[in-house]
Amino acid sequence: MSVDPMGMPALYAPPRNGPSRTTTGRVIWEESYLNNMVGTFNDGIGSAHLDWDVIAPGGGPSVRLDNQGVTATPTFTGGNVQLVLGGSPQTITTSSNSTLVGTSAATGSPTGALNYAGLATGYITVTSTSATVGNWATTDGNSYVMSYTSYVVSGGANAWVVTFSGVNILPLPQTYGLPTPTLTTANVGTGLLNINNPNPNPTGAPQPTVSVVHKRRINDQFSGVFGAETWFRPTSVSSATSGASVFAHRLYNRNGVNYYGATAYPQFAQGFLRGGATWSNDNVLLWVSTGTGTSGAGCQFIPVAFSVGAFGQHSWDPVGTGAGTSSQWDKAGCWNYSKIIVNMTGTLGAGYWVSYQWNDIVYPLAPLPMYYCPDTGAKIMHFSTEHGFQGTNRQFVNVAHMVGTNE
Amino acid sequence: MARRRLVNMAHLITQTGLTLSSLTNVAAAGTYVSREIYDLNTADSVAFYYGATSLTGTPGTLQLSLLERDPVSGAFATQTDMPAFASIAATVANLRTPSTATLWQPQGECYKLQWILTTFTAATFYCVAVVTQSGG
Repeated sequence: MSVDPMGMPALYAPPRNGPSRTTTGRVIWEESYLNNMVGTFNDGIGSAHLDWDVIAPGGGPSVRLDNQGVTATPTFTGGNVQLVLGGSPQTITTSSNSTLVGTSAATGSPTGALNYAGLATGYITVTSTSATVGNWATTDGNSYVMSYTSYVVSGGANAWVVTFSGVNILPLPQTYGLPTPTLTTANVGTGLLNINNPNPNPTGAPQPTVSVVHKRRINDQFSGVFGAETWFRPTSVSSATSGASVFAHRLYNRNGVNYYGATAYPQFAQGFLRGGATWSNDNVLLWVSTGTGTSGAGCQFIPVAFSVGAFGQHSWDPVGTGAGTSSQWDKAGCWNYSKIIVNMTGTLGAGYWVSYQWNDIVYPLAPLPMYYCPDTGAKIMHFSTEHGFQGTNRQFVNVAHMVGTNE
Repeated sequence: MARRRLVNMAHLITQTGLTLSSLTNVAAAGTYVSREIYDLNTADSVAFYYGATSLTGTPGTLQLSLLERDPVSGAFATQTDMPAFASIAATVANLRTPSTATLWQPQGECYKLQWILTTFTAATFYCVAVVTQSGG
């Protein structure tokens, strides 16, 4: 009789025989779909079905995550607020400790969303999503993430003013101009500031009533360090749209009392004017989850990096439902590789992120805690890929070669 | 070697996998459709097993039918070569279409099941596809 030695991966790790960009991990399970069967399951709405039109990297069919038009518009928000750029045009660097002003014409106070899990600190994202210069919040048309150390809310209903202090550019990997990025604010009065969490976001836990939750489950009670891998492509027209597309990759477990989940969320449509000439908005801002709350709420998403690539191009959508006008027939698409590694060791599963890999780059994250919340659901480790969207343009994505690893 | 797998045809778009059941409840007379079902498109043949476990109200009919999607226009329509479901007027089990002597091979990439409850005010029914496929 042979016993699977979970603590000795180095001795027993088989060679990787499937398509992968990772260099670590002993394979626990893999879904290749080459046998025309789907062993993973959709716990959510819509469908997760075998797709022989969209072939995975390495061959074989992929699985299409299709919400079939069910929108997540009422659900996928939280921990965020959008303000209009105020004050005067100014230059901000990684060490300028600037003061930045945002305004809100909303009836209610923005204080709730600014109180980011009780913290006075947080993030300000300027996302350049339109080729129109008049919409840019920065003179160079590039997207940036800034951090702040405190804020003050003044004014009243329909005329709120938020004054952020200690504002610096957060030097994320692939921020334009590294190592000395500088932004100059532009279009005061119309440029937009997104505060803290991205909007929309997939929350800290699966939301099966508004999204496809496509998963494999393996019984394990927080015994070690695990990885979750997947390949992913935005497939339909509009499936990588600013403020509307929500693809999430999660690795999570429960112990009968709490849920502990690591969520990676690529936010699409980040604009950059690279080389001073060609502006495009199909880059990605990567976020990972931490914090605590209830049923996925209260999640704090932490920005990890900008990623340069072609994420909103080459759709496969024969019906053309996304745009409602013309169909798209690109079967090859643009595939991405995603890998979560978390340390789940601990009697209560108080686990933390080890790293997140998006395509060619591994981002170390330890000891960032995973998001957690009370949850008495199934006490088992889940590896999931999820998809939701907001608005009326139907979206779907494809995933392939989901792998669970022991690291 | 041929292999068989099951597909629940009466699966609504908004129904989560966790709440999916073999039996589907209809709470009022009317016309209903399932989610889009792509799980038949690797089949060599498909047979549908169906029945009704309860029917309530003034006697009427429960009629199931299959709709197939035009892959370009996206419209769902009935095609003449589809299996014919029996009209159900009383509780019944163990119905199957097509008949024993006929194999039905799907031509389309995507289907929906439609169910029309007439006169009856409520019903509980099931419809499961047994998909036979080879190779792999």
